[in-house]
Amino acid sequence: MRKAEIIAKNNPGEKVLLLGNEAVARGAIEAGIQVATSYPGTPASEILSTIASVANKFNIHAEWSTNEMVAFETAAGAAMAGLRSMVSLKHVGLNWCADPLMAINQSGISGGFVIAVADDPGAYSSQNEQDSRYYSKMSELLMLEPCDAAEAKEAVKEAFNLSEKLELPVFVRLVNRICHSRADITLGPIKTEKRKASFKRGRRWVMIAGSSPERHKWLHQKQREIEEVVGNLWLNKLELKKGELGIVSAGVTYTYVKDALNKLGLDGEVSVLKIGTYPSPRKLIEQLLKNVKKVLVFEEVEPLVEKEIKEICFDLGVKPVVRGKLTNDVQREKDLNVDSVSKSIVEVLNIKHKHLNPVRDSALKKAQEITPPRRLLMCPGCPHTATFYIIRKAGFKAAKGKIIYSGDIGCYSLGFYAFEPPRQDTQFCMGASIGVGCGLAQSGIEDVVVATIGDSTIIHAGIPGLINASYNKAKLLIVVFDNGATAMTGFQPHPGTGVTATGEKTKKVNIEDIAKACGVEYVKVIDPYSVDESVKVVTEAMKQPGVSVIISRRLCMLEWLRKARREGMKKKLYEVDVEKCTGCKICVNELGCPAIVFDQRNNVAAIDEVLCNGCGVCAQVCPVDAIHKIKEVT
Amino acid sequence: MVKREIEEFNILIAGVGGQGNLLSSEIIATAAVKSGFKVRVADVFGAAQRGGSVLSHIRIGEKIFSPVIPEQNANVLLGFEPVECLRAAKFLSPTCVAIVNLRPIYPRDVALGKFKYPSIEEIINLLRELANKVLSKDFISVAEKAGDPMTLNVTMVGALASLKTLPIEKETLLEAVKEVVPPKTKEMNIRAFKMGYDETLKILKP
Repeated sequence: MRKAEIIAKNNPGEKVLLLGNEAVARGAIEAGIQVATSYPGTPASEILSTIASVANKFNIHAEWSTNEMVAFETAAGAAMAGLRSMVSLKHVGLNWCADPLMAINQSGISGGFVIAVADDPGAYSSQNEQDSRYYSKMSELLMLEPCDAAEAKEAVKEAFNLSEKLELPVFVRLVNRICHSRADITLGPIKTEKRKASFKRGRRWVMIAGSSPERHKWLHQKQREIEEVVGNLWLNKLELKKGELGIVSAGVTYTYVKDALNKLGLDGEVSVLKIGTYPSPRKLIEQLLKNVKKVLVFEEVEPLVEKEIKEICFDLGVKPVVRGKLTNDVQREKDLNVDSVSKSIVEVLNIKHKHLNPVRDSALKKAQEITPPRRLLMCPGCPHTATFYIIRKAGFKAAKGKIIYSGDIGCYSLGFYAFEPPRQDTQFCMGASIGVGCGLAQSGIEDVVVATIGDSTIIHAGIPGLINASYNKAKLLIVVFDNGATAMTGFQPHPGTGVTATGEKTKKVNIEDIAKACGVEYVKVIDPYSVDESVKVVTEAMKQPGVSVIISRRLCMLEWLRKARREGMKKKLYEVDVEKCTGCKICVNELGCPAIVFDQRNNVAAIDEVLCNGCGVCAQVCPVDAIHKIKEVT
Repeated sequence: MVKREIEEFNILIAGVGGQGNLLSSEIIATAAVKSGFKVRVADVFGAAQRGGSVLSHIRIGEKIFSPVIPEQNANVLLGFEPVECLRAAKFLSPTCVAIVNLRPIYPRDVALGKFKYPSIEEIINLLRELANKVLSKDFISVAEKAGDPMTLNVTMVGALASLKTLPIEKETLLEAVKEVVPPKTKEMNIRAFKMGYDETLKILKP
């Protein structure tokens, strides 16, 4: 609640600490946004949840849409009615929007439409490191690329102005290091007057066959306006110095370059072109090229600007040396930082590295050697851990253990890291568990194919696959890991929860009804905390001739703990009876709850009292009944 | 109060998801904003909700740009967990003061016997080689005395407040604690802050 109060402050000039995503949200609020949409995805999720926390106060419609494509279209529709709207999403979420994007770019927009997209260089919480600037290039739309959280707020406001000026959607490209960093942010005035929606009919909105060439021409004419905007925008800035090296830095890399030059004592010598737009500011690049002999380019993910500088050099007939990712002078994969940028500068300038003290060097090496890894795990008592155990056990009963886990995006993805052998055999994108599962099943493979997919994910992307499985008769088992929230991104509600982004009650979508309506005959709900009964049902499901759907339903343990604290419910604690324990390790290896450890010396399992959340599944799994409830605590 | 101009001061918090590192970084950064400084903070973590390594970088001063501390530039390390301090070792400046909680959270692979957890002595000795000063204690026991082991994060902020080199006043940090922690836990966290402060002073001047 405290954060909502800060976000709602109408006290221009005050400095407050905000997360990058909160700054983006505040920027949209200051700009008078009326419709905000999103689907949760790290690192973008907090943008919409922040707007939703003050939506009622500012009369904003804020929604978690069923997926990014719907979110995009909803926000675009509101802008067609003349309002200011924004869709916020992660980079791979933008892939879902490619279809509407490539039509609406030609129609343009009549209100202000901002697409805030968060890239994940280093893929800390994604399946790829994808560069969203390609969408700007492909759709011929302007993209702003702020360098930090403070600039991000202003960039969002600017994007609304430019969207209305250009009559086009405008992107704002963020990266994980902006979204999830905090900064002192100066609050601006909040635009409180609201527009009345009105839709002006016109040919531009109907991208039917025959419409495109004319609209495409209009979009091409707009490129001149975009070029003019880019040439004068405050987000681009050239700092000329006397030295022969010029650095071009796009987006967040500007902050790395400024720190690196400061640390290296080179800020007085090296020219820096800060780039905050895509397309890049051609005039400023030409000006830099005329003043330096060497150019070093920093940009997150792909070498787009670097390639364009080479083109500009060709056009101008000048031959400065252009170095960057293409020449292996800048690290090609993973996110950049001050240290990697410093290394590139030092190497390109051919100056000496600061030598480390050798004693320090060996201590650092030693520290690295003796640090044990901390791999990603399921939370203690996670219902998904139990569901995975149940699937595995049923697999032994129904198919001699021959199972292929066709995986998906969500907490259950961690089934790859948490278990040995992994309980995710494939993993690509939202919904692929069912689509890829259909193909594996249709291949005639002997193994039982199990698609593992979450409640939010199946609603987002699973339904067409589900219909396909049933219509085309795939022998596929779909297990829905239903924990009652979009858990991995921070427990956002979805249509299966019956609550909206702003906390209002709404129509609850029932996953078993969806499955039945898609033509699936075998649909069963299990409770993963009732192990034996569930194993029986899943075994039966695996033996079905066609598609079957199991919904494994239990509230996320972290959500349950919060609820328990609120409502004063008690948590059970379990203990291993060391007299009975035979050291078979079934609880450790087959179940794999992180609260269970193994005492090597005494060859018995043990439960970490601090970690245990009292789900009681281990007690059901133990073949010799060595695990008992000892007490209940608050 | 005359505003102190500083060029750069970097604080690194190393811990495990669930220990409340993010709340600590928010408290410290809020206090820095209240003190009128430019502030940048990066919370670096993976996809896990709980149990993974979490690093919070807090940078204060006029000369900073990036939210991530460059290697060998952390002036203070707040170590919530011993091996996490080692994992963060490359960031420590030779003048760094490390405040380390000595109670481990064993990684899963250690609990399963696949990896060894180094001895506390070994960890502290290595940190002594890399930092200028190491102040270590079982800060969980301090947090327990304050009322809940979960107040470790605020206890560590209290410990930080005892450092003379810190450009933020103790009172400003305490004010930020009161603002940032959930209202229900305010009294307990004020206690944790004060106990963390007092206990660290005892290590500094026994």
